[in-house]
Amino acid sequence: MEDREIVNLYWERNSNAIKETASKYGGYCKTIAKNILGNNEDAEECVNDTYLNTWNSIPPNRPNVLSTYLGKITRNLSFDRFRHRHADKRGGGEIELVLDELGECVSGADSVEQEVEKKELVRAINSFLDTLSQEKCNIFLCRYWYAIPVSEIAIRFGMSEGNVSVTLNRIRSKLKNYLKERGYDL
Amino acid sequence: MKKEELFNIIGEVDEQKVAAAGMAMNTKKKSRPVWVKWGAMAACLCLVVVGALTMFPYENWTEHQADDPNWSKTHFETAELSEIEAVCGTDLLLDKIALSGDYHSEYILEITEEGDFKNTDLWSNLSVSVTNGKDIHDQSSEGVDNVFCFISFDGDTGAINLPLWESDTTMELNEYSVQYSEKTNEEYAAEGITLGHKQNYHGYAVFTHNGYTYYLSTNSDNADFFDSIINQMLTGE
Repeated sequence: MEDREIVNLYWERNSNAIKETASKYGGYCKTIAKNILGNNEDAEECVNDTYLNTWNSIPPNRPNVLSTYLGKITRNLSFDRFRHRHADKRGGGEIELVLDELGECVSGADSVEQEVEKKELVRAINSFLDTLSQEKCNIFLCRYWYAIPVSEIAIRFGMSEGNVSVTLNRIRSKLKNYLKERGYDL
Repeated sequence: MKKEELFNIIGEVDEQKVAAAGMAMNTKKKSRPVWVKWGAMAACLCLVVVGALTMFPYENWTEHQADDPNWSKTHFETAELSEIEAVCGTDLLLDKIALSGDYHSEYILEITEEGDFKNTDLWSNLSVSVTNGKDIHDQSSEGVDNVFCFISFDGDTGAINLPLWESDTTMELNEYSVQYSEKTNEEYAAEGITLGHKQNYHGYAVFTHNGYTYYLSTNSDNADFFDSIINQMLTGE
Protein backbone atom coordinates (compact mmCIF):
# COMPACT_ATOMS: atom_id res chain seq x y z
CA MET A 1 0.00 0.00 0.00
CA GLU A 2 1.28 3.48 -0.80
CA ASP A 3 2.28 5.73 2.11
CA ARG A 4 -0.36 8.27 1.15
CA GLU A 5 -3.04 5.59 1.44
CA ILE A 6 -1.77 4.41 4.82
CA VAL A 7 -1.80 7.99 6.14
CA ASN A 8 -5.38 8.37 4.88
CA LEU A 9 -6.35 5.31 6.93
CA TYR A 10 -5.10 7.08 10.04
CA TRP A 11 -7.08 10.18 9.15
CA GLU A 12 -10.17 8.05 8.61
CA ARG A 13 -9.50 6.38 12.02
CA ASN A 14 -9.51 3.06 10.24
CA SER A 15 -7.80 0.42 12.45
CA ASN A 16 -6.27 -1.18 9.36
CA ALA A 17 -3.83 1.72 9.44
CA ILE A 18 -1.73 -0.03 12.08
CA LYS A 19 -1.91 -3.37 10.30
CA GLU A 20 -0.69 -1.78 7.06
CA THR A 21 2.01 0.15 8.91
CA ALA A 22 3.26 -3.00 10.61
CA SER A 23 3.24 -4.89 7.34
CA LYS A 24 5.24 -2.27 5.47
CA TYR A 25 7.44 -0.77 8.19
CA GLY A 26 7.47 -3.21 11.08
CA GLY A 27 10.86 -4.64 10.15
CA TYR A 28 12.30 -1.19 9.52
CA CYS A 29 11.19 0.09 12.93
CA LYS A 30 12.38 -3.03 14.68
CA THR A 31 15.84 -2.68 13.15
CA ILE A 32 16.12 0.88 14.43
CA ALA A 33 14.95 -0.13 17.90
CA LYS A 34 17.26 -3.14 18.07
CA ASN A 35 20.30 -1.09 17.01
CA ILE A 36 19.66 1.16 20.00
CA LEU A 37 18.39 -1.30 22.60
CA GLY A 38 20.37 -4.40 21.66
CA ASN A 39 17.66 -6.99 22.22
CA ASN A 40 14.51 -8.24 20.51
CA GLU A 41 12.18 -8.00 23.49
CA ASP A 42 12.76 -4.32 24.18
CA ALA A 43 12.74 -3.60 20.46
CA GLU A 44 9.32 -5.26 20.02
CA GLU A 45 7.89 -3.19 22.87
CA CYS A 46 9.19 0.02 21.34
CA VAL A 47 7.77 -0.86 17.95
CA ASN A 48 4.36 -1.50 19.51
CA ASP A 49 4.62 1.84 21.30
CA THR A 50 5.49 3.39 17.95
CA TYR A 51 2.20 2.21 16.47
CA LEU A 52 0.30 3.69 19.40
CA ASN A 53 2.17 6.98 19.17
CA THR A 54 1.53 7.13 15.45
CA TRP A 55 -2.18 6.45 15.93
CA ASN A 56 -2.31 9.28 18.45
CA SER A 57 -0.39 11.73 16.30
CA ILE A 58 -2.02 11.23 12.90
CA PRO A 59 -4.13 13.33 12.69
CA PRO A 60 -3.33 16.16 13.15
CA ASN A 61 -0.03 15.37 11.45
CA ARG A 62 0.14 14.33 7.83
CA PRO A 63 3.76 13.19 7.33
CA ASN A 64 5.38 13.61 3.93
CA VAL A 65 7.82 10.74 4.43
CA LEU A 66 6.06 8.08 6.47
CA SER A 67 9.15 5.88 6.89
CA THR A 68 11.16 8.65 8.52
CA TYR A 69 8.15 9.76 10.61
CA LEU A 70 7.81 6.25 12.04
CA GLY A 71 11.55 5.79 12.29
CA LYS A 72 11.88 8.98 14.30
CA ILE A 73 9.19 7.92 16.77
CA THR A 74 10.87 4.54 17.18
CA ARG A 75 14.28 6.15 17.54
CA ASN A 76 13.08 8.56 20.20
CA LEU A 77 11.18 5.91 22.16
CA SER A 78 14.10 3.49 21.99
CA PHE A 79 16.63 6.07 23.05
CA ASP A 80 14.46 7.23 25.96
CA ARG A 81 14.17 3.63 27.11
CA PHE A 82 17.92 3.16 26.76
CA ARG A 83 18.66 6.29 28.82
CA HIS A 84 16.17 5.27 31.46
CA ARG A 85 17.65 1.80 31.85
CA HIS A 86 21.28 2.84 31.69
CA ALA A 87 21.11 5.90 33.90
CA ASP A 88 23.16 4.22 36.59
CA LYS A 89 25.47 1.93 34.73
CA ARG A 90 27.45 1.48 31.59
CA GLY A 91 25.70 -1.42 29.93
CA GLY A 92 27.50 -1.74 26.60
CA GLY A 93 25.73 -2.02 23.26
CA GLU A 94 26.11 -0.49 19.84
CA ILE A 95 24.45 2.76 20.90
CA GLU A 96 27.16 3.31 23.52
CA LEU A 97 29.78 3.12 20.79
CA VAL A 98 27.79 5.59 18.67
CA LEU A 99 27.46 7.97 21.61
CA ASP A 100 31.18 7.75 22.38
CA GLU A 101 31.95 8.74 18.79
CA LEU A 102 29.56 11.68 18.96
CA GLY A 103 31.16 12.60 22.27
CA GLU A 104 34.14 13.87 20.30
CA CYS A 105 32.00 16.66 18.88
CA VAL A 106 30.75 17.98 22.21
CA SER A 107 32.21 19.27 25.46
CA GLY A 108 30.08 17.07 27.67
CA ALA A 109 29.03 20.05 29.78
CA ASP A 110 25.44 20.54 30.85
CA SER A 111 23.63 23.02 28.68
CA VAL A 112 20.40 24.86 29.09
CA GLU A 113 19.02 24.30 25.64
CA GLN A 114 16.40 26.61 24.33
CA GLU A 115 13.99 25.25 21.77
CA VAL A 116 14.90 27.98 19.29
CA GLU A 117 18.63 27.22 19.66
CA LYS A 118 17.92 23.55 19.06
CA LYS A 119 16.07 24.36 15.83
CA GLU A 120 18.94 26.55 14.66
CA LEU A 121 21.43 23.81 15.43
CA VAL A 122 19.35 21.32 13.45
CA ARG A 123 19.32 23.80 10.57
CA ALA A 124 23.11 24.13 10.80
CA ILE A 125 23.59 20.36 10.78
CA ASN A 126 21.31 20.08 7.75
CA SER A 127 23.45 22.68 6.00
CA PHE A 128 26.55 20.74 6.97
CA LEU A 129 25.06 17.56 5.51
CA ASP A 130 24.48 19.49 2.27
CA THR A 131 28.25 20.01 2.02
CA LEU A 132 28.87 16.26 1.99
CA SER A 133 28.63 13.94 -0.99
CA GLN A 134 25.51 11.78 -1.07
CA GLU A 135 27.54 8.73 -0.04
CA LYS A 136 29.22 10.45 2.91
CA CYS A 137 25.88 11.89 4.06
CA ASN A 138 24.35 8.42 3.89
CA ILE A 139 27.23 6.88 5.82
CA PHE A 140 26.99 9.58 8.51
CA LEU A 141 23.24 9.12 8.95
CA CYS A 142 23.45 5.33 8.85
CA ARG A 143 25.84 5.53 11.79
CA TYR A 144 24.42 8.43 13.83
CA TRP A 145 20.72 8.39 12.94
CA TYR A 146 20.14 4.66 12.47
CA ALA A 147 22.99 3.52 14.83
CA ILE A 148 24.01 0.81 12.36
CA PRO A 149 27.23 -1.08 13.18
CA VAL A 150 30.32 -0.08 11.20
CA SER A 151 30.69 -3.59 9.81
CA GLU A 152 27.20 -3.52 8.29
CA ILE A 153 27.78 -0.09 6.81
CA ALA A 154 31.01 -1.40 5.27
CA ILE A 155 29.20 -4.33 3.63
CA ARG A 156 26.36 -2.19 2.28
CA PHE A 157 28.62 0.51 0.90
CA GLY A 158 31.22 -1.85 -0.52
CA MET A 159 33.99 -0.49 1.70
CA SER A 160 36.39 -1.94 4.25
CA GLU A 161 35.61 -1.33 7.90
CA GLY A 162 38.83 0.64 8.26
CA ASN A 163 37.74 2.93 5.45
CA VAL A 164 34.31 3.48 7.03
CA SER A 165 35.90 4.28 10.39
CA VAL A 166 38.35 6.74 8.87
CA THR A 167 35.54 8.33 6.82
CA LEU A 168 33.34 8.77 9.90
CA ASN A 169 36.25 10.23 11.84
CA ARG A 170 36.83 12.84 9.16
CA ILE A 171 33.15 13.73 8.94
CA ARG A 172 32.94 14.18 12.73
CA SER A 173 35.96 16.51 12.65
CA LYS A 174 34.45 18.47 9.79
CA LEU A 175 31.12 18.73 11.62
CA LYS A 176 32.77 20.04 14.75
CA ASN A 177 34.74 22.65 12.80
CA TYR A 178 31.71 23.61 10.67
CA LEU A 179 29.57 24.25 13.75
CA LYS A 180 32.38 26.06 15.58
CA GLU A 181 32.86 28.42 12.61
CA ARG A 182 29.19 29.26 12.85
CA GLY A 183 29.30 30.04 16.51
CA TYR A 184 28.19 26.67 17.90
CA ASP A 185 30.74 25.58 20.49
CA LEU A 186 29.13 22.39 21.64
CA MET B 1 26.38 19.79 25.37
CA LYS B 2 26.11 16.12 26.23
CA LYS B 3 26.59 13.49 23.55
CA GLU B 4 23.06 12.22 24.16
CA GLU B 5 21.70 15.66 23.30
CA LEU B 6 23.64 15.69 20.03
CA PHE B 7 22.23 12.24 19.24
CA ASN B 8 18.73 13.63 19.81
CA ILE B 9 19.40 16.69 17.67
CA ILE B 10 20.71 14.55 14.81
CA GLY B 11 17.37 12.75 15.04
CA GLU B 12 15.68 15.95 13.85
CA VAL B 13 17.61 16.40 10.58
CA ASP B 14 15.94 16.57 7.18
CA GLU B 15 13.64 13.58 6.67
CA GLN B 16 14.50 13.26 2.98
CA LYS B 17 18.17 12.79 3.87
CA VAL B 18 17.26 10.20 6.48
CA ALA B 19 15.07 8.34 4.00
CA ALA B 20 17.85 8.40 1.40
CA ALA B 21 20.30 6.90 3.89
CA GLY B 22 17.78 4.22 4.78
CA MET B 23 17.33 3.34 1.11
CA ALA B 24 21.11 3.24 0.64
CA MET B 25 21.32 0.60 3.38
CA ASN B 26 18.70 -1.46 1.57
CA THR B 27 20.66 -1.39 -1.66
CA LYS B 28 23.89 -3.36 -1.41
CA LYS B 29 26.50 -1.42 -3.33
CA LYS B 30 28.54 -3.35 -5.84
CA SER B 31 31.98 -3.89 -4.32
CA ARG B 32 34.63 -1.54 -5.52
CA PRO B 33 36.92 -3.23 -8.00
CA VAL B 34 39.67 -5.40 -6.62
CA TRP B 35 43.05 -3.69 -6.48
CA VAL B 36 44.90 -3.91 -9.77
CA LYS B 37 48.62 -4.36 -9.54
CA TRP B 38 50.63 -1.46 -10.89
CA GLY B 39 52.52 -3.80 -13.22
CA ALA B 40 49.35 -4.94 -14.97
CA MET B 41 48.18 -1.37 -15.37
CA ALA B 42 51.57 -0.32 -16.75
CA ALA B 43 51.19 -3.00 -19.43
CA CYS B 44 47.83 -1.52 -20.38
CA LEU B 45 49.51 1.83 -21.05
CA CYS B 46 50.85 0.43 -24.32
CA LEU B 47 47.30 0.24 -25.62
CA VAL B 48 46.17 3.62 -24.34
CA VAL B 49 46.75 7.10 -25.71
CA VAL B 50 48.56 8.64 -22.73
CA GLY B 51 47.33 12.14 -23.38
CA ALA B 52 43.70 11.03 -23.39
CA LEU B 53 43.66 8.86 -20.27
CA THR B 54 45.53 9.30 -17.04
CA MET B 55 46.29 6.10 -15.15
CA PHE B 56 46.41 5.98 -11.39
CA PRO B 57 48.14 3.32 -9.37
CA TYR B 58 45.11 2.84 -7.15
CA GLU B 59 41.97 1.75 -8.92
CA ASN B 60 39.53 3.58 -6.70
CA TRP B 61 41.65 6.74 -6.44
CA THR B 62 39.45 8.53 -8.96
CA GLU B 63 36.39 7.50 -7.01
CA HIS B 64 37.85 9.08 -3.88
CA GLN B 65 38.77 12.20 -5.84
CA ALA B 66 35.26 12.57 -7.25
CA ASP B 67 33.90 12.17 -3.77
CA ASP B 68 36.43 14.29 -1.87
CA PRO B 69 39.12 16.04 -3.91
CA ASN B 70 41.19 16.68 -0.78
CA TRP B 71 41.32 13.01 0.23
CA SER B 72 44.52 12.20 -1.64
CA LYS B 73 46.35 15.18 -0.11
CA THR B 74 46.08 13.68 3.36
CA HIS B 75 45.60 9.96 2.68
CA PHE B 76 47.99 7.48 1.11
CA GLU B 77 46.25 4.25 0.15
CA THR B 78 47.72 1.08 -1.24
CA ALA B 79 47.12 -2.65 -1.37
CA GLU B 80 50.83 -3.43 -1.53
CA LEU B 81 53.08 -3.98 1.49
CA SER B 82 56.12 -2.87 -0.49
CA GLU B 83 54.49 0.48 -1.29
CA ILE B 84 53.47 1.28 2.26
CA GLU B 85 56.90 0.22 3.53
CA ALA B 86 58.49 2.52 0.94
CA VAL B 87 56.65 5.38 2.66
CA CYS B 88 56.57 4.25 6.30
CA GLY B 89 59.66 2.11 6.58
CA THR B 90 60.02 -1.45 7.80
CA ASP B 91 59.92 -0.88 11.56
CA LEU B 92 56.15 -0.89 12.02
CA LEU B 93 55.60 -4.68 12.03
CA LEU B 94 53.51 -4.33 8.87
CA ASP B 95 55.05 -7.43 7.33
CA LYS B 96 53.87 -9.35 10.41
CA ILE B 97 50.24 -8.47 9.76
CA ALA B 98 49.77 -11.22 7.23
CA LEU B 99 47.88 -14.45 6.68
CA SER B 100 48.95 -17.77 5.28
CA GLY B 101 47.80 -18.53 1.76
CA ASP B 102 46.12 -15.96 -0.50
CA TYR B 103 44.83 -12.78 1.11
CA HIS B 104 43.98 -9.14 0.40
CA SER B 105 45.47 -6.11 2.13
CA GLU B 106 44.64 -2.45 2.44
CA TYR B 107 46.85 0.22 4.00
CA ILE B 108 45.62 3.78 4.57
CA LEU B 109 48.10 6.31 5.98
CA GLU B 110 46.54 9.58 7.17
CA ILE B 111 48.59 12.71 7.71
CA THR B 112 47.46 15.79 9.57
CA GLU B 113 47.88 18.22 6.69
CA GLU B 114 48.96 18.23 3.08
CA GLY B 115 52.63 17.42 2.80
CA ASP B 116 55.22 14.70 2.30
CA PHE B 117 53.78 11.34 3.35
CA LYS B 118 57.28 10.28 4.45
CA ASN B 119 57.45 13.13 6.98
CA THR B 120 56.82 11.37 10.30
CA ASP B 121 55.93 14.70 11.95
CA LEU B 122 52.76 14.72 9.85
CA TRP B 123 51.74 11.13 10.53
CA SER B 124 48.38 10.81 12.28
CA ASN B 125 47.46 7.14 11.89
CA LEU B 126 47.79 4.06 9.71
CA SER B 127 44.93 1.60 9.18
CA VAL B 128 45.77 -1.91 8.05
CA SER B 129 43.17 -4.44 6.92
CA VAL B 130 44.05 -7.99 5.93
CA THR B 131 41.50 -10.61 4.94
CA ASN B 132 41.39 -13.96 3.17
CA GLY B 133 37.85 -13.30 1.99
CA LYS B 134 37.00 -13.12 -1.68
CA ASP B 135 38.09 -9.47 -1.82
CA ILE B 136 39.23 -6.71 0.56
CA HIS B 137 35.63 -5.89 1.46
CA ASP B 138 34.85 -9.47 2.46
CA GLN B 139 35.83 -9.22 6.12
CA SER B 140 32.77 -10.37 7.99
CA SER B 141 31.73 -13.59 6.24
CA GLU B 142 31.62 -16.96 7.88
CA GLY B 143 34.95 -18.76 7.56
CA VAL B 144 36.92 -15.59 6.74
CA ASP B 145 39.99 -14.66 8.78
CA ASN B 146 40.37 -10.92 9.15
CA VAL B 147 42.89 -8.71 10.91
CA PHE B 148 42.52 -4.98 11.42
CA CYS B 149 45.27 -2.87 12.95
CA PHE B 150 45.05 0.84 13.70
CA ILE B 151 48.39 2.46 14.49
CA SER B 152 48.05 5.81 16.19
CA PHE B 153 51.05 8.09 15.74
CA ASP B 154 49.67 11.23 17.35
CA GLY B 155 47.32 9.85 19.95
CA ASP B 156 44.27 10.24 17.72
CA THR B 157 41.93 7.26 18.07
CA GLY B 158 38.84 8.82 16.57
CA ALA B 159 38.55 6.28 13.78
CA ILE B 160 38.04 3.31 16.08
CA ASN B 161 35.48 2.28 18.63
CA LEU B 162 37.82 2.52 21.59
CA PRO B 163 35.53 0.81 24.15
CA LEU B 164 35.89 -2.44 22.21
CA TRP B 165 39.59 -2.42 23.15
CA GLU B 166 39.10 -1.68 26.84
CA SER B 167 40.17 -4.55 29.06
CA ASP B 168 41.69 -5.26 32.46
CA THR B 169 43.54 -8.31 31.20
CA THR B 170 47.18 -8.04 30.17
CA MET B 171 49.87 -10.43 29.03
CA GLU B 172 53.60 -10.01 28.62
CA LEU B 173 55.12 -11.09 25.31
CA ASN B 174 58.86 -10.45 25.10
CA GLU B 175 59.20 -6.71 25.77
CA TYR B 176 55.54 -6.00 25.03
CA SER B 177 52.81 -5.52 27.58
CA VAL B 178 49.55 -6.34 25.78
CA GLN B 179 46.12 -5.36 27.04
CA TYR B 180 43.65 -7.75 25.42
CA SER B 181 40.24 -9.38 25.36
CA GLU B 182 38.79 -12.32 23.49
CA LYS B 183 35.09 -12.95 23.17
CA THR B 184 32.62 -14.90 21.10
CA ASN B 185 29.54 -13.53 19.39
CA GLU B 186 27.46 -15.06 22.16
CA GLU B 187 29.40 -13.20 24.81
CA TYR B 188 29.04 -9.90 22.97
CA ALA B 189 25.34 -10.52 22.45
CA ALA B 190 24.95 -10.97 26.19
CA GLU B 191 26.35 -7.43 26.55
CA GLY B 192 23.98 -6.09 23.95
CA ILE B 193 26.69 -5.62 21.34
CA THR B 194 26.26 -6.75 17.77
CA LEU B 195 29.56 -6.65 15.94
CA GLY B 196 28.00 -7.59 12.63
CA HIS B 197 30.66 -10.23 11.94
CA LYS B 198 29.52 -13.71 11.10
CA GLN B 199 32.76 -15.20 12.46
CA ASN B 200 32.46 -16.41 16.02
CA TYR B 201 35.77 -15.44 17.66
CA HIS B 202 36.91 -11.86 18.16
CA GLY B 203 40.13 -10.64 19.70
CA TYR B 204 41.19 -7.11 20.65
CA ALA B 205 44.68 -6.06 21.74
CA VAL B 206 46.45 -2.81 22.57
CA PHE B 207 50.23 -2.50 22.79
CA THR B 208 53.00 -0.05 22.10
CA HIS B 209 55.73 -0.51 19.52
CA ASN B 210 58.44 2.06 18.80
CA GLY B 211 56.46 4.59 20.82
CA TYR B 212 53.28 4.19 18.76
CA THR B 213 50.05 2.67 20.03
CA TYR B 214 48.67 -0.31 18.14
CA TYR B 215 44.98 -1.26 18.27
CA LEU B 216 44.64 -4.74 16.84
CA SER B 217 41.45 -6.72 16.23
CA THR B 218 40.86 -10.15 14.72
CA ASN B 219 37.76 -11.97 13.55
CA SER B 220 37.77 -15.67 12.74
CA ASP B 221 35.94 -18.96 13.15
CA ASN B 222 39.24 -20.37 14.42
CA ALA B 223 39.51 -19.99 18.19
CA ASP B 224 43.33 -19.88 18.00
CA PHE B 225 43.53 -17.20 15.32
CA PHE B 226 43.92 -14.23 17.66
CA ASP B 227 46.74 -15.95 19.56
CA SER B 228 48.52 -16.86 16.36
CA ILE B 229 48.41 -13.29 15.03
CA ILE B 230 49.59 -11.76 18.31
CA ASN B 231 52.47 -14.23 18.54
CA GLN B 232 53.34 -13.73 14.88
CA MET B 233 53.54 -9.97 15.38
CA LEU B 234 55.28 -9.80 18.73
CA THR B 235 57.34 -12.96 19.13
CA GLY B 236 57.91 -14.04 15.55
CA GLU B 237 56.50 -17.50 16.27
